Amino acid sequence: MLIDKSISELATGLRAGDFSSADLINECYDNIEKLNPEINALITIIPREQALKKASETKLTNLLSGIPYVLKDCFVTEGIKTSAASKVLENFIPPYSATIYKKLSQAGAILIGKANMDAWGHGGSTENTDFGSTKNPWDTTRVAGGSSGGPAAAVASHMAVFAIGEDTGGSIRNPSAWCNLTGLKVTYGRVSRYGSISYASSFDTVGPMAKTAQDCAIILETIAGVDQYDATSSTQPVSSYNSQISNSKNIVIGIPREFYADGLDPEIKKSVLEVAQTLKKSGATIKEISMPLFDLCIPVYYLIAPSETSSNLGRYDGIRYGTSRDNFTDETTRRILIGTYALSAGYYDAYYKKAQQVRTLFIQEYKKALSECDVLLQPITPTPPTKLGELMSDPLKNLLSDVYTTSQNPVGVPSLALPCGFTSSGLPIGAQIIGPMFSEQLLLQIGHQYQQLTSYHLQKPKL
Amino acid sequence: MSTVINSDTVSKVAKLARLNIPTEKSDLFASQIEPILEHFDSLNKINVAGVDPTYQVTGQKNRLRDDIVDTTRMFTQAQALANAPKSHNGYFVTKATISKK
Repeated sequence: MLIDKSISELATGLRAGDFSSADLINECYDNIEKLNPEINALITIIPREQALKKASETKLTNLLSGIPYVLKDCFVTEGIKTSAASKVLENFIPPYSATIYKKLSQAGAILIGKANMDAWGHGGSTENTDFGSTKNPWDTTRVAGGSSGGPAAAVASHMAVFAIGEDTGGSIRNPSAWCNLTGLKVTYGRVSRYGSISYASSFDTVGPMAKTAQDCAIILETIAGVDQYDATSSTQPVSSYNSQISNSKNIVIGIPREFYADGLDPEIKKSVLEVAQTLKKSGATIKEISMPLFDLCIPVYYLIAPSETSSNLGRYDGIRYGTSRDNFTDETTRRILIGTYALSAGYYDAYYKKAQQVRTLFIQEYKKALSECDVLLQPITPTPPTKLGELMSDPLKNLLSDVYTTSQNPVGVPSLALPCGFTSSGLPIGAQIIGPMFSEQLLLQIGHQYQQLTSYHLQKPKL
Repeated sequence: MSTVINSDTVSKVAKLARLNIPTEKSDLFASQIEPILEHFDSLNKINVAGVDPTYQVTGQKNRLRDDIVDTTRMFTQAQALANAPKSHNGYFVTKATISKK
């Protein structure tokens, strides 16, 4: 299939006239028609003719020009339904567009769908959605991960070349790991959040989900940068991530031992640690370190994120737009209740403030770890993709499954999720590489180097 | 800091959050939230005396724009009302917040 090619190969092919943007788009729509009824990756599908018309008017000015992609349904798109996978917004047609959508449109990328997710980002399995669970293309009895499960399943099942996800506590990395994609959780502020429906405003990040680290570099170059409409977007200059993707240096990889203790599936542990061994062959040094605060990441995350979400979701009053607050799912209701409780008089100091103080300690712990090493190697998920329904039956277990991806967002550091192996039953395994604030360039270089040495990322599900 | 969460607590918090939760459901939520809050008690083993809380990680101070109207971000009245479940003569229709008597 054409869309098995990397973005840089596609861009070259488009320019050489080997195929057209319409060919790519038609291939995506054929796959959507064939597979979406079962996978349920997309909530809204842009009419094919509309995408083809846009493609016919698009000049090849950017490597993403003419390339079909999907957005997680948490980014507002003018004139196109945006639901955040919640019944509360089931009929919401935004009157304006998110910066991410504007930037990609300006680059000539072709939006073909809005993808399924856990409602408001609340979940790690794309089961907490009012539009039906997304199935994992590698095993349709299992979940695709979440909350950006729709974007991940869409790319893994050839419905789009790439996707844009949103990561508050693993929402890009977890589905990337479970669907065998490369996904980048950027440094907080690297990519504008304007028009991204807020879950937890001080954790939310917008980033690419694609087939390779180089694809992510190309996308990041287009979407990163300061935005006058997002006062938390960073003024740090944007690197030319793609042109420097092949640069490499001898790095020190930190292995924080607490991340490999009990509770981690042995096959996942082996595959993730193997990443360090592979990179060692090309000059990396491995250093075992300790991050003793690790087991506090769930309390810190699940106090601050629900607190912020209880405030953010306060705006849905069903008066100006949207439906009734009665339409929040049980999972979302629990998070609003926990957040409101943690912020309420008498509990604020013991819960919310304390979590924000421990957050400070987390920042110090990551700073220390990243002064001893260039990057950290960590697992993404404690288990392979779960069976549909498995996590939804136990709310606490559901939260605990986010254990490896919730310590980075309170700190703000970037993390690159990479395919690094398969379980004996053929399910994808992912690893994450974490670096200091604004080290996206380094992470993408390491990812690229790793993908030159391995072929896990090239494996496709049998559909 | 163990706290017993019962259906009354849930009802009280639900009211603060403007959520309508039927009584029979309050019990269920209480039984689900209690073990989650118990898990959070592990924070108590950390001494945070003198540690400043972190509310955001950008390190930036208030960023203000010039006080100039940005016409590209203005909605027409029709646009602003387009998604409203109920509008009347260019206004949003809401439930009365002050009772008549």
